[in-house]
Amino acid sequence: MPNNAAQRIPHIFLALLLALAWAAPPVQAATVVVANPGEPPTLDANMTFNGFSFLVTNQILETLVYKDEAGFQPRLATAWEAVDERTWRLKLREGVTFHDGTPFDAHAVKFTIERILDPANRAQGRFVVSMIEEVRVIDAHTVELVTSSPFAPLLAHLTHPMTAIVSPAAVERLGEDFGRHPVGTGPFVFESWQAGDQVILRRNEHYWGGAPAIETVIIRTIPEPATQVVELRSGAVDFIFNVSPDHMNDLSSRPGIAVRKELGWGSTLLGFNVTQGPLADVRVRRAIAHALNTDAMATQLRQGLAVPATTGLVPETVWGAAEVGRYPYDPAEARRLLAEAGYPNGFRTSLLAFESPELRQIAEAIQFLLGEVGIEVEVQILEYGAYSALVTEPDREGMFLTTWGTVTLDSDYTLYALLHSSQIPDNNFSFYRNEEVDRLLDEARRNADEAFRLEAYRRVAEIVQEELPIMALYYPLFSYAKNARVEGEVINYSWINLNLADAVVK
Amino acid sequence: MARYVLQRLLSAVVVLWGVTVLVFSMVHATPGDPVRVLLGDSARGATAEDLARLRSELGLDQPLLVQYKNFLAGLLQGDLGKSWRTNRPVAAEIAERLPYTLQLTVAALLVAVLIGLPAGVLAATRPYSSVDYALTGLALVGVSMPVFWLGLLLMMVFALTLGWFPASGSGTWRHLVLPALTVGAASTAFIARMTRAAMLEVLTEDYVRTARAKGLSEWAVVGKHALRNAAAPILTAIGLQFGGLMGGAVLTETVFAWPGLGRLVVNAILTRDLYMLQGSILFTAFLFIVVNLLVDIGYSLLNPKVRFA
Repeated sequence: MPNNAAQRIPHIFLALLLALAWAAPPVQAATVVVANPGEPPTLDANMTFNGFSFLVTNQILETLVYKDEAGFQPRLATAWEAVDERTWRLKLREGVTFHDGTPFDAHAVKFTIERILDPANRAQGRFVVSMIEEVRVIDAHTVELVTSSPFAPLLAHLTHPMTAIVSPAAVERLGEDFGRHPVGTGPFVFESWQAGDQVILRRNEHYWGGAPAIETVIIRTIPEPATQVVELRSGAVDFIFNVSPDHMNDLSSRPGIAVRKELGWGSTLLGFNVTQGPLADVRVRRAIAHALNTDAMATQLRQGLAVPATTGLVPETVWGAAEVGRYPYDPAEARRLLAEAGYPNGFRTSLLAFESPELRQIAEAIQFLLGEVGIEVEVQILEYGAYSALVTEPDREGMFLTTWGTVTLDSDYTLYALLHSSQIPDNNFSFYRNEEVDRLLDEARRNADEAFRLEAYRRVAEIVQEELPIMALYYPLFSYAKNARVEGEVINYSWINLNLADAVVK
Repeated sequence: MARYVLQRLLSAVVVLWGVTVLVFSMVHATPGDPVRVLLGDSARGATAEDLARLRSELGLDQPLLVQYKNFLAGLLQGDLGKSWRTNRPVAAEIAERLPYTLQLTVAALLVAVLIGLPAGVLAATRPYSSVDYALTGLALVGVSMPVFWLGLLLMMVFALTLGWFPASGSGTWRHLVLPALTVGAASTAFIARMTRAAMLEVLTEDYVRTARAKGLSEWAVVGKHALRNAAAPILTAIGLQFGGLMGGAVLTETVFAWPGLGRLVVNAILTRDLYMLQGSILFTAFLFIVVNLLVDIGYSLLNPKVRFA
């Protein structure tokens, strides 16, 4: 039994701690605080497909390769070559250790990929590597990946954050708990995760790329954008992402805060069920394209946080994107086409979107613009589950809005999913079936020749722009705002790719 | 007394069973394919077979009655199922968040009682005075102010401009201040109004006049004689607020990034995490029922007449 004095000590301690907490500055110099717009479901990159997770796991775990403007770059793999049309050989980085001290080697690569492939593990992004049939360990630092059929975009798929290499020893030791204590090779080491609140990371003193200058990274879950802005302005948070146009304008004029906006991998798309009602007529779809002032949507509605769509379904950052002819804003031409198709007085149709402030805004704009040419649009905005159930119904007549990220930065990822007839109705919500497009997409998958693939995607883009089963309205820019005291961060294509390995705090 | 408690307990169990039926049917009757929602963005690229496999693994291809039976059977063993999203037991997720919600609720209730009770008493002792009108007016504002807006307002003033408290997050008592004020505002107003009404009624009673006639100080008259007799309805109001506070905390937790149960529920709704949704709603209902039970029993202790009603 503790006596009274001993009982009191923790109270004194507490009081002292509170006094210290009061006196402490909001953040220490070598600590960087990042706002995560949502709570990660898990920190096991292999098992999730969630951006809130990837923002965190990308600091702890690393992929074999990554991509930037110059093309594929080495990360845990240092060199790669195609041995034959179904086999890729990868040289792995030597002298790398996982945070738990075990060595990174070919076994870890085999372990990770087989872990994702094992149906029992129910990896949500299994399809990203499902074409891999076998992982061969050639020696400690060489692996061969064998695909079931020729698969040209394989390397692109290995840039996906869900393919990051995990420590086999840690997975075996922790089992399902690995998602709460991830162990990788990245620049930061996992320290703790307070659910709903924050993940704390410390720098990896033994990082193969050199220990980062930042000692501690705190990734806080802050769902409310207005709160993120207050936290950034008060100096308690250093990075906030996907800043809304209004906040962006406000923050850009504040001293000590830097804002950036860049073209990423995203597209905002308008699709049509091409098998039902008036929308089955290509002239009607072209009329709609003429009736929509997409440039105004990008520059005015999105207030400069988007750029006009000039390269079809994917932005120019995506490999295989090709310039396409566009449908200029021309309501008179739209009315002429409608009359030609037999709808001089327009018709009624519906537009389906899932809940998002951006899509709501765009849906209303489309409703207004199509109303101007006589098409009466009923807008339905649903939560994602209800949306996807409706949009996959073959006899639903109408249009749909969606957003898409070409995460692998290879056109295959987007064009195959949205246009190939085998993807009806899972991803091909347009119910679009075109033998030539199918053939081109299949060949571009099988053929590793880059020129051949580029030509195939250019041809697909042309056909799509002509037949309009789905059209890009604009490409959203990804935006972030930061405390200007932090410099040297690298963010390629999306906020989830935040890289603080070479960042410094002034 | 034991009989009364038993009665209340039994009816609580019936209510809880009703909640299971309601929650289960609500979750399953809403349109949309839960498997697609679960996959989220990754449903793009997943094949029909992938979806079907997942559906059967999760037992979602079974008849609803069978699903309900399994759900109830698990519940009786304290098993709320596993969250699809995090792949962890729902009970573990709730246990992690519960302390934060309780902290916030208790702190908000403290705010509400410490401000609302004296304010109500003060207003009642000076009825229809300018003090009374000012307090009643403030209470009206407190009740009608949207939690979301009040939260942001407090944040702007006390976090951004004055820098006294952190804008969001958790960890120290300072993190608790703004969310507790936000959640507590409406309850403060409610308790102040209830207290005022109860006190006004009591202050006209004969025994209060007698107490005054005896020459007792105003403090003794109001504090001892009047307030004690007005206590029962005030206590009921406070008890009811406790449940309401847990509900009000949902928005506040989102605004202040407070890691409590409310955000778990919101997240479960947004991501259609069925078992998490069922579990957290059930658990919240359970808490609500327990608090009401305690208030009922406490009330019957204060006022023996209630036991035989």
